[in-house]
Amino acid sequence: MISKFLLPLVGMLFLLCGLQALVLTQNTPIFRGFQDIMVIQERFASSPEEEASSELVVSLGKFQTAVQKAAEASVLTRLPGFPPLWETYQARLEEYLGNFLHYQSLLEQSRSLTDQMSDISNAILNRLPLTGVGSGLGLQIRRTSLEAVRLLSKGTVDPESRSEALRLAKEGQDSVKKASAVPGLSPEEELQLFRLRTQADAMVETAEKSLLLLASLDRARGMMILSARAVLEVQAEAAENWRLQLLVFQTIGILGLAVVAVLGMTGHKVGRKKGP
Amino acid sequence: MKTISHTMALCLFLCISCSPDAPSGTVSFYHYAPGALAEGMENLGKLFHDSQSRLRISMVPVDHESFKSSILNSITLGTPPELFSHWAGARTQALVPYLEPLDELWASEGWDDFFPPRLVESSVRYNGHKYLLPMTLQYIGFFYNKQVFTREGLSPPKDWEDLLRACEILRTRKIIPLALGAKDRWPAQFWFDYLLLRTAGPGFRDDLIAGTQPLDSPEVRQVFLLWKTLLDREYFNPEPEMESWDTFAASAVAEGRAAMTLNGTWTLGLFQALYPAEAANIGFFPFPAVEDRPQAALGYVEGVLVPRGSLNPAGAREALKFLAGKEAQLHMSRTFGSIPPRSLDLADDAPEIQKEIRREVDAAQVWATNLDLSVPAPAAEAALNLFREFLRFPDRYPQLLAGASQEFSQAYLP
Repeated sequence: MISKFLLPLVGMLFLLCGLQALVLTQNTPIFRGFQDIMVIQERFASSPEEEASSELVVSLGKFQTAVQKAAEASVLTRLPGFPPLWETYQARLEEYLGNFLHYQSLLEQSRSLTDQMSDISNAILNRLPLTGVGSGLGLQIRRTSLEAVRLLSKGTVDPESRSEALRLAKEGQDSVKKASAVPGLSPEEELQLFRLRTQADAMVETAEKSLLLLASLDRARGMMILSARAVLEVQAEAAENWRLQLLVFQTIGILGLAVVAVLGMTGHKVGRKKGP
Repeated sequence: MKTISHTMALCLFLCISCSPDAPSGTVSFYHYAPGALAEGMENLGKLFHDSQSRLRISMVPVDHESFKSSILNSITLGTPPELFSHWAGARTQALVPYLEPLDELWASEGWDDFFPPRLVESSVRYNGHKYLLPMTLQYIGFFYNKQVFTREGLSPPKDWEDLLRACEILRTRKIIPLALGAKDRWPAQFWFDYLLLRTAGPGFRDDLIAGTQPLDSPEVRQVFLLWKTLLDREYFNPEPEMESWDTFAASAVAEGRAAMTLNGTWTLGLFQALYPAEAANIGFFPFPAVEDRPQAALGYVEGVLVPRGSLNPAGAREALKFLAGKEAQLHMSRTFGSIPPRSLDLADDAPEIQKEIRREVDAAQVWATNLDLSVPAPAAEAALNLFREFLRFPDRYPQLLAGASQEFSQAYLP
């Protein structure tokens, strides 16, 4: 009677333990995933000015993918019976993801402003005055705006590059203002200078927005790094807990398999009725 | 055997219940709602989070002007967001190769039952496929300060002569009759669009947009002549080409320094966000008739696009289901003062001014989309630069028009 009810139950328990071990093993990459994130983050958080803009964006894409994967995998840790440690880990991870996305959104805005500066620079080239007082000025503003764009592209999070870009943009704006105030301009020169002025104004406005953004960007970066450290702290504890569970479930699972194998070899019939 | 099969079924159940089948993770949503209106987008995200718990939406505000070029870069650099706001029309058409079609989702969700067929054809469908989920229908009209009008004994002008008369009275009382902030260029185009619709008519305007009529045609010159009359009589504020539409024009109307401004329904959203006490004092009237032409309403549809190659396309589709719903569409209508594209149904408690606008949209014989969203991007650039330069040098409009016309026509060359 005991073997009729108890053995299948014990066998099922063993199988469940084995399955749980399998689930745990499959989700072990959650830790490796976060290590990948840290490697990329360390790189761009420590020396962002050395990164080309496009390379930075690609790194951010990989970074986001890794966060996404980690966040998705960690959903499994919400299975009933897990200790609150996993909830803390998940919460820290979500906090980190939120901070990262905020930082990324600010970087995106920063990049958009650089794109806009580039557009303005192209507009200056396309509408460059060909004659009169505006022609030399146009070339000068074109040069300074190109340099400003280069500085912004180079220094996505670098205050010095941003300040220098703003200074150059203002230099161009002042030149146009002075030239516009010169008496005796022809109607054509007035028009050319107005065109340059609108572009120079837009350049300054965009550079100012870009500089203002920098303070928020800096704060967001600090928050992101802090929350990454918080994840790492919880992760160390969680990883230990994970390994322990894996060991326990694997052991029970293997033991279960061994018992089933032994029972099979010794001729025990599980769950079969005796003959008439 | 039975026990083993039960065990396996249990294992299978456990496996299924362990693997997440519903979309989860985060969806990034880039939008260009300016300053005060960006909070409305954040609140839209909160509504989404209240509706479910697996998926998070991250609202990313991008500078309005830089968004126009930067979104293409985000898509082509291989790091697109899951969703982004965009203008229906020529600008969406230009992005079609980079977008995910929504045909299957559209059919499975039965959205044809909610979005008017005319709107679907004009704003949703491109190259035979559906791409854009409409979120707001924006209408362009005059927003005026009711107190100022009442104090000066004025009523909303019905025709051009009425408008000139009202402007003259206001000017003599040292009130700016027409506030215009065209620093960003696009607000000036509404004057051009409406004057063209009310004089040459919608048919001619369609031809101009299609590139079969030149920009310096007599009909367009007539528009500039009428527009110049208003500038010559000093009915606009000084230097409209250097002022902004929100911090100057809308503010001047809200504060009573100016009487009226021609702009979109999003101005209502701005009044509600920045001047909640004065918002009830803002009235609306359509652009007055100039000549006997079909009554045309000007505006555009904004919506959400799904780029190819985002990290969480399943999440994007799930978020779209929410955004197409009544709750999200009404939220956008409340925030931006727009008409919800879904069934064009306003909330029961919508302000009277929005109901008036809705009636105007219904009554319009023709719906026209503003110029910069209807023509190829280089043509739009030429036209927007022309408007700004005209505001600076109104006397030189024939020369400016001739120069811009060349650029405009070149945009249509194969």
